[in-house]
Amino acid sequence: MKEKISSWFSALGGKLTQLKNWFLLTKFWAFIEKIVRYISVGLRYVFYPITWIKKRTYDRMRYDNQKVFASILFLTPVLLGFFLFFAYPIIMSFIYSFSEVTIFDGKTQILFGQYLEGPKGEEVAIKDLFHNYKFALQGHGTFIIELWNTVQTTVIDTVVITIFSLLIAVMLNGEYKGRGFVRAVFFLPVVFNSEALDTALEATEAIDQVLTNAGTGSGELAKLFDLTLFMESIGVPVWLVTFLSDITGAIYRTITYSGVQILVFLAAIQSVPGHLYEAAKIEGATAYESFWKITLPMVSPQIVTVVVYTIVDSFLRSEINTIIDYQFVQNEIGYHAAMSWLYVIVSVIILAVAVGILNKVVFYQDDKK
Amino acid sequence: MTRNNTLTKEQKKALRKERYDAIMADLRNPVKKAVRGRKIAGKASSLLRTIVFIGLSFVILFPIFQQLMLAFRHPNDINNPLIVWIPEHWSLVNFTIAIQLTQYWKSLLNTFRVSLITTVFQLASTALAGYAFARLKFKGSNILFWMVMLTLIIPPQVTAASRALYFSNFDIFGLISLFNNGEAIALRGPGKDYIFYIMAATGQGIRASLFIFLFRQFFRGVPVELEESAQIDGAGILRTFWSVMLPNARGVITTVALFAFVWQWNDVYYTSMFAVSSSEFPLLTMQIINTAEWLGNLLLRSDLKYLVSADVRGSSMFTSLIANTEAFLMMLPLLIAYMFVQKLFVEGIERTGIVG
Repeated sequence: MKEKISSWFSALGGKLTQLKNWFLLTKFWAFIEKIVRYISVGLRYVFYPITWIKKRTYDRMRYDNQKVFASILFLTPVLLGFFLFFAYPIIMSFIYSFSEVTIFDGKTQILFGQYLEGPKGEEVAIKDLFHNYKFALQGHGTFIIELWNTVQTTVIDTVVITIFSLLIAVMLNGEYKGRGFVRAVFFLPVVFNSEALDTALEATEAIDQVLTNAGTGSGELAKLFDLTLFMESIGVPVWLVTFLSDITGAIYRTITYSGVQILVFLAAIQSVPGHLYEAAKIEGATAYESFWKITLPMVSPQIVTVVVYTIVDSFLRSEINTIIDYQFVQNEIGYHAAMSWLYVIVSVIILAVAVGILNKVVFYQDDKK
Repeated sequence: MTRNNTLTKEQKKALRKERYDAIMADLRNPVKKAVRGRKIAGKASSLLRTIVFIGLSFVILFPIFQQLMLAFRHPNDINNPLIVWIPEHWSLVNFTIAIQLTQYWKSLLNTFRVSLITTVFQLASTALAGYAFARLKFKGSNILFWMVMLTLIIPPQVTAASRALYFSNFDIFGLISLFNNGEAIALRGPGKDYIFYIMAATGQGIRASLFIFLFRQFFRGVPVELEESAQIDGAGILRTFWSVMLPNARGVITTVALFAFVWQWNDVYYTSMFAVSSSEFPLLTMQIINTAEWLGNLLLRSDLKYLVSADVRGSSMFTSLIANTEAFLMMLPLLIAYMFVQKLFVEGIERTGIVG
C-alpha cells in the first residue's frame, strides 16, 4: 500500500516536471519573462535615487556605523509600536487614574484636577485627586480582597509551576521509548487552551442563574461525565476518590499552565554540555547528585525567566481581571485605570522580590553579575 | 546431578559454603555494588518516569477524549445517568447546531486569516528586533530592550481602557485629522481586523516581547565566527541576517510561529477589546462566547426545532454541551495541524538553545 502511494506520488511528480518543462518552452512563458525583465529594469530606474543615496551614504560608512544604522532600521517598527501603542496609552491610563473620565457621544472628556470656584471665591476641587484609588481601596468591597487572593495564588502557583516544570523537563530529557509521543502530548496544553470555552461556560452560568435562580450552573455538565461518581459507584472509598480527584484537578491545572515553562527548561537542559555529566559519572556521581550539582546550577538563569513569566502569566489569569474589566464595561474608566495601576504596582513588587531573591542564588556561567 | 551424588556430605557443605562466600564477596565488592546500585536506580527511575508519563498523559488526554465523546452524544441523552463515556445514540446534532450557531466555515476562514497574517507580521517584527538587540548593539540599545520588556511585565489590562479610547479615535498629533477632513479615524470596531496586523507589525501583538526575548536569546547563542566569515565574504548586514542567521534560526522560528498562531487563534482578550468580531466578520472565540445568548433564538427556527426535544432545549446543560462542541470544533484544526507540526516543533525546541 505504502509503496503504491509513494509510486503514485513519484509518477505525479514526474508528470508535473514534464508539464513544467513544456510550459517553460512555450511562447507564453517567454512573454512573461520579457515583461518581468522590463519591469525589473524599470524598477531599477525608479529606485535609482534610493540606490544612489545608499551608495553615497550607507556604503561609505564604517562597518560599526552601518551596524548602528541597520539596528535602528530593524528596531523601527517595534519602537514605533512601543511609543505609539504602548507608551502613549500607558501615560494616558496613568492620567485617567487621577481624573474623572466621561465618554460622551464617542468623545472622551477628561477632568484632571479641575477646580471650581466656590461660593466665597475659593477654589474647590471637583474630586479629590486620588478619588479613584480611594474607591478601589475603600469603596469597592471585593477589590482589595481579590488582590490579596491573587497575590497568594501567584506565589503558590509560581513555586509549584517552576518546580513541576523543571522536574518534567528533566524527565522529558533523555532517551526512552515513545519519546516523540510523550513530548507531543506534553505540549498539547499549549495548543489546547480553552479560554473561550471557559468564558462561554461562565456566560451560561450567569444566564442560567438569572433564568432559573436555582443555582444549577454548568457545573452540571462536569457531573454528567463524572469519573468520581463512576469510581464511587464501583466501590472505591470516598476519601480516596476525593483525594484523587483533587490531586488530578491540581495536576491538570498545573500542567495546563506550564507548557511554556517546560519548553524553556527543556531547551536549557539540552544546552548543558554533555561532558560535564560524563566527568561527573566517571567521578562516581549518581544521577541524583548530578542533577543538584550540574543541571540545577546550569539552568538557574532560566529559572529567573520562568519565574518572571509565571508571575506575569498567573496575574493575567487571576480573578481580579474580571473586576477590573467590569469597571471598563460600566464605563468607569477612572476606576478601571486606578485599579489596574494598583494591580501593576503589586505585580511589580512581587516580581522585584522574586528576582531579588533569585539573583542571590542563580549561578551565571560567565559570572558577569 | 551425577557429580553431586558421588560427593560426601562434607564436600557438599564445603561447596555450598564456597558458593555462599562467593556470592557474599560479590555483594560486598564496592565496584560491583556501585554498578548494581546504578542499574537498580536506572531501572527504578525509568519505571517512575513511565508511571508519571502515563499518569500525566492521561490527565492531559482525558479532557480531550471527554470533549469528543460529549460532542457525539445526542442532546436528548444529557440527563441519562447510565451513559458515562461512550454515547448510546451517536449523533451529529450537536455539530449541526454548533456549525450553524458559530457560522463555522465563515468564522473558521476569518480566524485562520487573522491568525496567519498576524503570525507573519509578528515573526517579521520580533525577529528583526531580536537580532538588533542581540547583535547590532549600540549605546542605549540595552535600555531600549528593557523598555520593550516592560510590555511583557505590564499586563495589557492597564492599557486596555486607554487603548480602546485611543483606537476608537486614532490620531497622531493631529496628523491624521489633517488629511481626513478634521476627523480622527476609528481603528477599532466590527470587521476592522487590520488593527491586529498593525499591532503585530509594530511588535505589540500578543506577547510579542516574549518572542523578542526568545529571538534575542537565540541570536546571542549563534557563534560570532559565523557572522564574521559571512562579513569577510562580502555579505552586508541584511545579507548576513537573511542568509546566515535566519536559516539557522529555524527552531525558534517554528516555536514562535506556533505560539503566535495558537495564541491569536485562542485569543479572547484582544478580540473583545478591539470589538472586531461581528456577524459580518465572525471570529471563532467570540462566537463561542456568545453561545448562551444566541442558542435560544437559533432553536426557534422551524428547521432546527425538531432536532432536540423541548425539555432539553431550555436546559443549561444543553447550552454547555453545545459550547463544548463548538470549542471542540475550534480546536480541531489546531489539533490536526499540531499532529503535523509537532515533530518539527519539538525538534525545534531542542535546537532553539533558548539559553544565551
